Amino acid sequence: MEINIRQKNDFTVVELIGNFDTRTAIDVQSELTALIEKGNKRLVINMETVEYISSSGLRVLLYTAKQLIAATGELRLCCLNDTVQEVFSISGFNTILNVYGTEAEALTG
Amino acid sequence: MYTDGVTEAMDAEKKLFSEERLTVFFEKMDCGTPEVMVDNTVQVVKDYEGTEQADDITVLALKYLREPATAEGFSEALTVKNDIRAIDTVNQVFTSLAEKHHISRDVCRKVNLVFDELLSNIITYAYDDENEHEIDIKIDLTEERLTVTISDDGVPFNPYASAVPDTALSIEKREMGGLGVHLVRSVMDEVSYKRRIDRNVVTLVKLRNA
Repeated sequence: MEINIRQKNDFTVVELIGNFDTRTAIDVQSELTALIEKGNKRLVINMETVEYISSSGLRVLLYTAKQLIAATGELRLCCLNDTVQEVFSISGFNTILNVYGTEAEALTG
Repeated sequence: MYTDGVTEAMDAEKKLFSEERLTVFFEKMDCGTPEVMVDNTVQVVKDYEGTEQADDITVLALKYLREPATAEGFSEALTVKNDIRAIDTVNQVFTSLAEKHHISRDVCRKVNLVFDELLSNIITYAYDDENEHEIDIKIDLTEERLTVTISDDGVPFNPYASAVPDTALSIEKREMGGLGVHLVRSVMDEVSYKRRIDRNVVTLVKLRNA
């Protein structure tokens, strides 16, 4: 898993490249926690190149969203492929997380 | 298949019909239906023997019906160790098979997800010792369906017996328990569990045109 981080508008954009599963969840978790600890409270996670997400990945997103709520920050997600969207709707994550179609929408919405 | 009444049938001069004669006869015979092959064989032995039949003349012919042609099908088996890195190995093997056999991208991602959920469960929870264990995986593809079987020698565990999580709760109340198996059940068309002697056997089916 490759994790690219850039600042755009008032957001920190985190681009995940690879699968978001048991093997990669720990790396993503520690990267996101480090960002939040450094004061980045408005995060956009761009999942354009994430082929699939498993429950390990969902766990990281839920934990991060809860951390950001506690820190009065915000988590936004964008660019989910059809399979990831289906997993979001099966798990109910589409109703508890903020999902946008494109990165531009996530940054301005 | 035949009884010795065939090869040991004797003519008027007490000469055996013999395996050699039978072989020559088979080589010359037009292979029609099994019935025709049997009838022709019995007839040639009777003609050889003349009027007096000394023993029973029993002949059985079988027609081998091949498996229906599966031009785009395959069957693949692999065995991995109970090491978390095995998930990547299995998913890489599956992804390249999926590309080769034109399995849709969506189905491929779902099966990758299923492998991640089920293999991580097995590797993390199935063993009450520190030993190396083998997990067997079988992938079968036909025109209609993709079948994946995962078997392990861990403690008896039926993943589908767990409760379905409440996916309608608010973010504050959401917990993660049971979500992985819920995903597996939802993205596959059929799931089943069997305890077979000392192994857990999980079977998953994805219909290709569903």
